[in-house]
Amino acid sequence: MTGLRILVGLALRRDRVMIPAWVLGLGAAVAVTASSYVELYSDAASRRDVVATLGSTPATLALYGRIYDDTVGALVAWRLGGIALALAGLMSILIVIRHTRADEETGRAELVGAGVVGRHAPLTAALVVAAFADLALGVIVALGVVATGLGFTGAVALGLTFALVGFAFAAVAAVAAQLSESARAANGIAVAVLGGAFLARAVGDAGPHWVSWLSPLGWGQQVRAFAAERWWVLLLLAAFAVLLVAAAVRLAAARDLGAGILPPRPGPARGSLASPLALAWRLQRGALAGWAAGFLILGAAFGSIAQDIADVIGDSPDVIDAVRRLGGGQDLVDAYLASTLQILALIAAGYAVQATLRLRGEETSGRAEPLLATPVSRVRWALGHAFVALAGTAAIIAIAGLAAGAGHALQTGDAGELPRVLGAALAQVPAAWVLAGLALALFGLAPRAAAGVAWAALAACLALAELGPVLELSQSIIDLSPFAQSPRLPGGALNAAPLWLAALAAALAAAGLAGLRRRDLA
Amino acid sequence: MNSCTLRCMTPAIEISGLVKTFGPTRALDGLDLSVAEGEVHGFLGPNGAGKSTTIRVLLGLLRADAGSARLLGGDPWRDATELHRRLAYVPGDVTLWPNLSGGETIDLLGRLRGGLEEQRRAELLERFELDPTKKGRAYSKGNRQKVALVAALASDAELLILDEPTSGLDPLMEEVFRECVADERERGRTVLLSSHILSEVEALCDRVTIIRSGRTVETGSLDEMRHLTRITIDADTANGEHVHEQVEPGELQTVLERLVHAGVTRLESRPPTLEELFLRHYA
Repeated sequence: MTGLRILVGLALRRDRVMIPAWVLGLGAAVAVTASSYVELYSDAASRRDVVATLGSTPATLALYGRIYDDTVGALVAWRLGGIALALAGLMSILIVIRHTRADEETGRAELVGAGVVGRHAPLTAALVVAAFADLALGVIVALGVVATGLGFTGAVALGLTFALVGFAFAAVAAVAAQLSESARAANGIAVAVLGGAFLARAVGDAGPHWVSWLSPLGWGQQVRAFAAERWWVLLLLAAFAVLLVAAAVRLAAARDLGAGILPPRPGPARGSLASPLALAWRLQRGALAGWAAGFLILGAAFGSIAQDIADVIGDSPDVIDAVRRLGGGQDLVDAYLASTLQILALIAAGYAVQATLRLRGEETSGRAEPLLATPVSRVRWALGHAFVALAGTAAIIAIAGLAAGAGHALQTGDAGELPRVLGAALAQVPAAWVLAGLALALFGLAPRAAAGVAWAALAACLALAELGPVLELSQSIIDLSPFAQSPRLPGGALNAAPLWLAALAAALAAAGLAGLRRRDLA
Repeated sequence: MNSCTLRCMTPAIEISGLVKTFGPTRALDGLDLSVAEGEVHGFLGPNGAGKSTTIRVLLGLLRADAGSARLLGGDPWRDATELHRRLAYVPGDVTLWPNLSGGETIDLLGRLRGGLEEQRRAELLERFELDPTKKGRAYSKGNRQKVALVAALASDAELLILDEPTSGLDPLMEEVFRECVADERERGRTVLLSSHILSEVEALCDRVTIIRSGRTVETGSLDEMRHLTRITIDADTANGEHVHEQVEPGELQTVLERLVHAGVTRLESRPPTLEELFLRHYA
């Protein structure tokens, strides 16, 4: 363990933005959820209503889990036990892989390993940093919940649940990091385990309950914060993590630095790629497939609970008001669908930005250089990635729209809902394209600032959409977001915004390409 | 004199007074470089002298602040795409796409350049002992270098721009590389070879240009340079004295007379090595 302190210091220095962003972002989401629930469900009748409906609908059971009590705290724990808890696992996975396999793949680990550093110090340091982040998240979750006036015991249970579920997936990532030679594949393995855990919990909560006991996410819910806490389940999470860490250490000792337990598969000796577009597609198709799968599941989940949601919130004037402000429609189901599609488009803009910024990654890594030393012009090279980004964004939004439409159509028995919801989803595409256009403009004109500014712009759009109505910001500020301009469909009136947003995206992209032609390449 | 004199009528690369600044740093400070068609030209300089910056200007990746640069009769910035049809490039630090195999990368770069010579591709893979089925992430530094070398050498380019192409190659592979460059010369191609490895430059290049801090300090054939510099004399005299000096060509007569007078028992004289030429500019 020699050198552990220095390695932990190094990792914290490298993550000085990433960890606070994750912890504070998730913490803020938890605090906002808790405080809005305290306000929305202050009377017992409305809570019993939620339990009776959402607590017995298969789709919501699958998405969020079972509700174990009709107190406000139990509802908060229920709402956070679905996606927020899984995000804590994702954060831990990304931290651990980043400081283990990714360092080995780039050769940084070799540099470190040649120093006065113990064999297991890098893995331990990654786990210590992940544990630190998980602990910070747990504390912030507990504080956020206590601040809204909910009970202290339940808050501690919920905080511990977040911290331990997070660390359980840090341990999963520690094992995954030993398996493959590639950081990307290691991330993929660990995230697949997380997805499997989510699926097992969803199946178990909607169907045979024992299945959710196969999942660390299920254990997190079985702690039952705010509903006669079962502290011993936390020990199960801790034991799971210890076991996996021990396995990771065993595996690490059995392999060489840089090698994986799974042998690398050879690739083809001949290639068929012959254009920048074909290369961009090849480089980005894996990530796009992941996003598409995620959007399929999200769309299907949101679409199939739309009808139930309307039944539940139909009794609560506060909620109706809140949903209408976000969705804007007259019919409650439509308002819910419209607000959901807007959020999906915002998430899809994350893909748009990521896929566009791939250009900057290719440039700074030096991989663009040999490509641009061939007769491929800069513009043609950039258009390849831009096309994948724009078409991919449209594709994932369409997939979510299709899935949501299909789910909603199945529930209502009205096949006409499918094209209606799909059309509504497609109307959101140009707003997401604006973010891709902005990223491309920045890449061409201010490449050093591109990543920071593009992600900040997306975060600002998210904040305006989610918090704008809550904070009662003036409409002219909320309208700065392209997503606020998009028509609120289904239900609302169609407007010309998709057309001019698409034109704006094209203009931004053109500015970026013009800038790219004129500037020095890194 | 070598075969170049007859063919070296048109310059493949003509740079004069090239200036490139990055913020306060003046990476190129009035650099001159002239590479004739059909010659193998050595481009020498210590780390940070501006070799890669010059090459990146020639590839149209960077825009020069002042001075002029001509490449194969065109403007490297304005006509980049057209000119790139006629050249192949090997970077000094090759990064590959981690999930593409070496073979896929070679074929991609070849196709973008307008096609590879199939037979030559197969022959080069064999000579460099490169396994094309490994993924980019699995190659060592030397093997990544080989991928870029095979892609460039198997192409049908008039001009090869090689930026420290042998870094990471073992001595056996370096020898293969030398043979390949000799073949290229036979085929009448022009080669700009930026390098640290002086023995490589000495063995391969018709002419060399030595740069320092973004300026050209010496250019010419190795023979010409040697004529202008000191000769090393190593001798023993009858009274047991050991003489080791470096002598200007004009002083040779005097020194030899002095030695003969003292009674020579052993005498060695040799022209300066490239290393000595090189060090003279940087010591």
